[in-house]
Amino acid sequence: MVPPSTGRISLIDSASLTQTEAARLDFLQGLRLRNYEKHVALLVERHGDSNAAGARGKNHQISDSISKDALYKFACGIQRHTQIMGWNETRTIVEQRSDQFEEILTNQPAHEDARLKLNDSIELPEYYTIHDSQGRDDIHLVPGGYWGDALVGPVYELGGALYRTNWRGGYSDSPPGSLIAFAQGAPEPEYQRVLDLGCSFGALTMAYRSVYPDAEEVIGIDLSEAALRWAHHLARGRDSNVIFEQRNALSTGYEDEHFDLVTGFLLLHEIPNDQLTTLLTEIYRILRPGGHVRFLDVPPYAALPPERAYLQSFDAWGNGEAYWDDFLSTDLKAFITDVGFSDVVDGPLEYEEPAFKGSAALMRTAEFRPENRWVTSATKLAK
Amino acid sequence: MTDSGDLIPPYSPFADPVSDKLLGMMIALAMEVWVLRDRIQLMEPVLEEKLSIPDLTSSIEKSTHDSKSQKVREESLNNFLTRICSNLDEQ
Repeated sequence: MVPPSTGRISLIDSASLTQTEAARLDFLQGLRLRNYEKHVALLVERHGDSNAAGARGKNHQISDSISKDALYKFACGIQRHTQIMGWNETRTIVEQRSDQFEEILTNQPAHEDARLKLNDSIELPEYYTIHDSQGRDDIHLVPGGYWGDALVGPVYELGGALYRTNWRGGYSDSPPGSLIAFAQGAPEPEYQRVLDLGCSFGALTMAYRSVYPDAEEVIGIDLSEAALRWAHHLARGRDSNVIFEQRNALSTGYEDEHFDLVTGFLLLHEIPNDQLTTLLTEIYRILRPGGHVRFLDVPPYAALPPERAYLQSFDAWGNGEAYWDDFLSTDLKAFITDVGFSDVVDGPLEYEEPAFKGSAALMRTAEFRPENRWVTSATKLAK
Repeated sequence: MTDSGDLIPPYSPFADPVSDKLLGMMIALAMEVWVLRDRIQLMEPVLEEKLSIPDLTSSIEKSTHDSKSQKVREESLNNFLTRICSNLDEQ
């Protein structure tokens, strides 16, 4: 039985913004889009021609020449300032309407709704909170990261749309096409038990439910209570029969061999490399023999032309991505193989979404590039 | 609790952090200018229609501010400058 719909999905109606609020978001969006389409495109043109055809991975000479280009410095500065200002503006807009969210974010009777299971005693791992303890930039430059702000859900709803340079489009009432394509790409036509790790606001969890409507259970887990509350709110609005639970992906607490499919979207680059083996071992434990693991994330540097690999690295220091550089430099397939998985493969996601300009901020060059969404999958062999 | 002296300094693409601050101020300033341009472009046709004032734009060009509104203007200007200079308050 799916809980009754709240009848509301997007609580921030773009038409309800004041002229001043809307004009500020328009400006930031316009400047960012121009940065991608003009500045970054010109950087690729300037520094990409000297590559040998088919070259992949970082190249010191090209990285050095881009880093000294004044246009690159301004492109980075514009990206970073507009990112910070965008979150500030969206946070202010949301806060001024926070009475709309009080019930959802604080008073929701989680104990009466089996589809949202919070854990008051969960311990947040050090890597997850390191931004505060070491004074690093918060992840994506969002004050409080994913866990320190009760309003993170609606802030990401509006700020995320701004990030994608479509703030007036608001929140879609259906999962993004790329996530549907990813969910449809799993090897088996049906799965009974699906687990989405680090689900944040539940976009992939709900995509899996729409692709596997007859699955026995589709569960999303995350460390952040605020993110899970928002995910639950969205799922109710869509009548999506999914469960959200507050658990740690590194130590889920589920029984051995419980799931047919374990997945994660933009999860791995948020985890330090020294925790990858722990994560993959846990996934191996909870997967049934013959089950599959599938990740959708950003591409490794080794898959990109040298100039794009360098541009991709911006997020490591310019967007609060503490583990980005290590993850994009690593051989993920080797990690997965070492844990015991078989049939480990990776490659660009096969999908069509021309309006999508790429996941990494400075990778956006006003053209559709499938490799911006990168799939890595493997199988736990049957006994 | 990490000693504040050990905190990681904020990222800047420029060798001189002053350049980064100036860029931030310029973007904030440009944003506020755009807000005003957008507002004026919305206002003029509305006022022309509602108040039946022909050639409103040229009429405004010839107008001056009421001295009674000076305090409001000062407060507004102060808020304007605070917004433009807000990145100077950050680390």
